[in-house]
Amino acid sequence: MLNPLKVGFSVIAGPIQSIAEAPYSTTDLLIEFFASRNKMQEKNSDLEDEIRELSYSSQRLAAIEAENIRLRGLLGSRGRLSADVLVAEIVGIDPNNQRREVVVDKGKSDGVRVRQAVIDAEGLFGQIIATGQSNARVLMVSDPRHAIPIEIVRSGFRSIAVGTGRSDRLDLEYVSTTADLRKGDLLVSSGLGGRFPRGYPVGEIQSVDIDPARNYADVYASVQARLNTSRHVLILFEGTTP
Amino acid sequence: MSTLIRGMVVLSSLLIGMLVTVGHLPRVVPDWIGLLRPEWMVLVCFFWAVEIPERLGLVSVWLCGTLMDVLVGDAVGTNGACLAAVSLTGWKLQARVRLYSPFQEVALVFAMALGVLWIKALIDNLLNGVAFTPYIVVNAVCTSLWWIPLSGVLGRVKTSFDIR
Repeated sequence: MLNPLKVGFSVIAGPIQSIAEAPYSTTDLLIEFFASRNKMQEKNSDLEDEIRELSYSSQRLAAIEAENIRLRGLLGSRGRLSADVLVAEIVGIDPNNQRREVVVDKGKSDGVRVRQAVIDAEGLFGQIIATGQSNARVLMVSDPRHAIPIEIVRSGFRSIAVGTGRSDRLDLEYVSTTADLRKGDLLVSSGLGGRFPRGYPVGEIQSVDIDPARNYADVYASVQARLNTSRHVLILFEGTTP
Repeated sequence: MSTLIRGMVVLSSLLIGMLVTVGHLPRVVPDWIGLLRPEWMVLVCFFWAVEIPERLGLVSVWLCGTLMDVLVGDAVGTNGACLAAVSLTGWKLQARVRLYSPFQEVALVFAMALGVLWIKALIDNLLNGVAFTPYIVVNAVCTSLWWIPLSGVLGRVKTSFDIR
């Protein structure tokens, strides 16, 4: 019932959000503009290295993907679609410390819908929880209200990673004291529940604390996505897979 | 000075209150610094409610609050109701507040800010399942500590633009 009101106000809220974000975007622009030549050259060289590494990885992934599709064909299941994404820029950050939300500059007019998964260059970032005409609100994986089904790449062990309100930490819930987990294990989205596509990096286990007196182990992980520093994110459309 | 300019000054102060509420801290600043941020809109609305009670309307305050809801992603009506309650308190107590000592004013602002933060936390808890946190007390303390400097600045603005 209140949605039209919210959409109407979001038209006024957009410019206010842009003004609030202006000092940061201007500072970024100025830093970029005045960066010394040497720094730019260094950065350029680093980026070239990164491109080479990524190119090598993508070639390997292409081969693995082709093999994956062939094996799926043998098993009778259909091959997955290639990634269909929309690049969005973060234009606002929720100042409330109890919540981890950001506002991005793509909305309904760009085909963005509630529940779509959002990633950045490093890993899973969050999900869309509200959309305006030209902006959308993203709930980050570190928000205490956020939970995501994950699996450990090494062992295949499945669990749920819950946000803690801290941008660098996720807690794993109901992990048995006998579970096969180690520090450094990579967590990826398991795809269970249907909200997030399978296989996107979520975090890395930082600590496994097993107390024999308790039923469950205390496990926490770092967040793979750069929640505090990313300026651009990718909104995934249904049926996408890494 | 025309009434229009005076109105614009009050509106600008509300807009600045919104901007500093929505604006986030630099990314390099640790998360806990965010806990020290005051409830700017509570302070600005309360100031104008005490100083120009006959000029600040309930509808305009409610609309400001609704805009805040959209800006910060709260449930629609949360900030509107909170700011309206703060303004009502200002209108009711405006004669007394003028006689209060700074300490009493700070205590009153603390009580109001705590009430507002508690209502917001309650709504967040009911709608989103977010657990209550004792940090709202820290937030309320910070809000009340900002009252004296902010009321000083807004008082100067009021005098300079002859807002009555």
